[in-house]
Amino acid sequence: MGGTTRRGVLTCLAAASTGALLAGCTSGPARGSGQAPAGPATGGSAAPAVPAGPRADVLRVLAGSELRDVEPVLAGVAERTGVRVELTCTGTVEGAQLVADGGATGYDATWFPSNDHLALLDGGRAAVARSEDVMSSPVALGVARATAVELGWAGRSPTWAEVVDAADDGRLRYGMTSPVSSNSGFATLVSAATALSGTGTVLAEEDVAAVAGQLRRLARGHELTAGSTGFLVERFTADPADVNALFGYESVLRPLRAGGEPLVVLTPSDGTLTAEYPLTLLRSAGEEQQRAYDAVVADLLSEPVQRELAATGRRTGTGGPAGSGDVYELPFPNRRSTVRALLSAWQSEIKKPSDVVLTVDTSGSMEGERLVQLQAALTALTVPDGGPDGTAGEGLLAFQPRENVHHVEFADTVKSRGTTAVDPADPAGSLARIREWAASLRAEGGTAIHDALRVAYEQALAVAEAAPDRFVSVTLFTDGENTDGSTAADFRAWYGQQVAAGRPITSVPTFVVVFGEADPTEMAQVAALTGGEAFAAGAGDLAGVFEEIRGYQ
Amino acid sequence: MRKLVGAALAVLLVVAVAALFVLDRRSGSADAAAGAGAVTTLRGVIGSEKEDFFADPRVRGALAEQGLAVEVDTAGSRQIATDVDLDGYDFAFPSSAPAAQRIAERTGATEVSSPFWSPMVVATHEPVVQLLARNGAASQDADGVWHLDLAAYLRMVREGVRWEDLEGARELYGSPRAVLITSTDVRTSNSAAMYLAGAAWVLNGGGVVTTREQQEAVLPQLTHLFLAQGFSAASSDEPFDDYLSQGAGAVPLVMAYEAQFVGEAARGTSRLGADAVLAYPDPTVASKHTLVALDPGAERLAELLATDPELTALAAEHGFRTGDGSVLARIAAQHGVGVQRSLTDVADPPSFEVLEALIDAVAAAHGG
Repeated sequence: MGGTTRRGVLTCLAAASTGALLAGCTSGPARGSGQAPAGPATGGSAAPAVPAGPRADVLRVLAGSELRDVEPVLAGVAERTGVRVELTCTGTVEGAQLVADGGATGYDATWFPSNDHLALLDGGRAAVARSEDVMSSPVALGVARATAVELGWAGRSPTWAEVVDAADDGRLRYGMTSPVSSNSGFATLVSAATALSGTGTVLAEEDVAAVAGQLRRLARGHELTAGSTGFLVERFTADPADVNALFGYESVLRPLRAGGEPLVVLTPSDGTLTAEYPLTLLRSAGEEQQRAYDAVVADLLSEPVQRELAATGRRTGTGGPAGSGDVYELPFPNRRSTVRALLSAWQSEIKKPSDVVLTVDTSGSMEGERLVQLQAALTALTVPDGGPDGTAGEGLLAFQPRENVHHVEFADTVKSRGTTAVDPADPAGSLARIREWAASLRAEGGTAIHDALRVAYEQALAVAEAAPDRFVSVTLFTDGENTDGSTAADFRAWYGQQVAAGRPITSVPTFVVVFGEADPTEMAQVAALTGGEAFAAGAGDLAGVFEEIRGYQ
Repeated sequence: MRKLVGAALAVLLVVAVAALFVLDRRSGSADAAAGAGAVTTLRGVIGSEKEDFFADPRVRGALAEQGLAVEVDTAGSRQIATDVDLDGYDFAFPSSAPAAQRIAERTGATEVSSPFWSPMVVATHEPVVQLLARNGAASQDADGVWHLDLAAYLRMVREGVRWEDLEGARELYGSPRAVLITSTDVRTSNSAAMYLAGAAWVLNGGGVVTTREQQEAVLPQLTHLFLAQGFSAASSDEPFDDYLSQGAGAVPLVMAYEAQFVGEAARGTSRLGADAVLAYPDPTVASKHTLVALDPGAERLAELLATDPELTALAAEHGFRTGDGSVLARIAAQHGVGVQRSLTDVADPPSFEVLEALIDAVAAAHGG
């Protein structure tokens, strides 16, 4: 499978500024050799994100990106125990896969919201030596106060069925991360499906079909999607008017505001799933690291530190939001096939379908290995199943039935355009046509990024205006600087005109794959202007970046 | 997963025990050892729930006074019975009698004794046990000790009763979940196997399951007891930790060793909440921590653990019963826990082979 060492350029820059600090949270794990991330934070193959060798006074921890806010607490842990906790942040779903595959040997421990997912993977349980739950936070729904009052939820938590009704009739418009890419979205979907199945016990594979209709009604209110919690919160904070609610962990939702007031944070009354944040010692850790782990755990569980953690909005033995008695915990599926069936149904028949405008640079500089890599990355998105076990993240990130895949191939001019609708009656045939297009790409000519982007947006806007109930986004791949046609300033001006004309352009983000000699600053500006994200792609990592972007579509 | 302690940690423990012993000798405090002549070092493989006991410096000191040093590795009781290479060990100390029986058969050892035992209990919360009582599945005896009627509970499970359906749920505990005890993963953990043994006894009409027909008759509901829980933890401290940290909303009922509950109460900083309730399933199953002496020297260890006043008191501090359980009752009372002094309603576990067959059948139903 593709590399997993990728993340947004913007995130990398932010991490770079803090990475050198005590207990800094760097981004992006490295899998094996030759997969090192090439983003600015890591500087190519000598990536500091690949942890250094073990040291008695350092605990190297692969952590969920939700844990950035506990870093100040870890500075105190370092002072008291003499052990510096070095967090490398990644998505939980991706991190769990890395651990189960045996690719996390450069880390001594993990710290994710939950180990449930890990335990379902082959090799997951065996990779763990021991773990200790440090704090908890339930999946919750944060609702703008005005909306909560309108729905009658200001003083009491709704049931999942009430949430479904409000989403279906348009009163609840919410943001949620992709269940395939992000743990909070995954936990939200599992909670909803389990509660709505009404069995009072664990979700079973046969329940998935029974709840699909209800989940589709829930998905009607899904207005903002993201591949990570960080991005979701960023978008919500930038424009809280777009949606009036967010699903996520309680600790993430508590600090957020809408309409000048804090969100009303609700846990559905018929149950939810709770992140328990187990700090987990890996079996591969050495003796010195085991001792460091024990010292850190003891300190984290001590009363003063538990109080500090409670101040981050987590629930601990010493406090935090409300008592724990108000949350009914739902069971987590014990079969991987159930999880797989639920995610597969979500992607192919439940979630709002997506229109993806693939805008790819095939200028002369793409000749040779680069074009081969691009074609391989695009082809990977047309393989509907990763294998007999179908690890989450592979087949599930392929183009899905009901999606429309538009393409704009460009150099100094637009070379080809087209649309392939992935037909639910014949997905394999549709995907084969996308593969044929990828195989037909030829490298030649200059680079007119902004001209191509305008063409892509005209296509995207046509869809967004005709079908407002679809997720529409542009994916821009480029390996060089703009050499032809209009400039970044021209594009910005044009974009402003579309906004002024009332066209729905702000609902169409651009996700940029920054490759080769592409200008990371200018591309980050395009992403920022459109409410998207820029991703740095290193050599051999391109497929992974395209897969990651699928989480945002 | 804390109890899935790898070999590395077990080695650490051995080093620690050995180091302490050397220190004792150097400091001259081990005069008893000197008086007893040479120190005998015994190597054992034990269930992980007794690891804290053998690591306790007071226990090591008491053994040293008797001229004994004990080194232990830990493994699951099922593994000790079937997988662990017992060469080089002086004793095996699994947490169940059926596992010990199997070890004795495997090795030809004849010296088998059960110095410690611990009944299975259900750790719950005051509102939850009150709700069960109001619906006829729990009651308090004359000493104020709570009991869970296992047959009534199994009936509720069979009928798919939810907490919110019960009479009084609105005031007491209105969870939408089905009534179900949280346990560990039966595929890996002895405490879950003991739960299975107790349930099998009740479902079999109050007798040990022996024949294939009996096994097939009880299996559907046994399977449901474990599968309906969803994801379950590999080792026994995990669901009990969830019970301690997350409260009634997450874990209304958890199957545990009595030793876990009492041991927690006896800790300096107990995490038991104000509404924590210890209840005995009727019938319960006793987990007999059974020592199989693979070497004659280990027989003395078994005898000391069962009879030495200092060691039996320390065992009680760790929540284990020795003899008639009166030492434990005294210690538990000091920490505000009322235990049932003498257990009258106890189900016998099936033979190792039948228990394994039942577990394998439940495991097969877990599927992929």
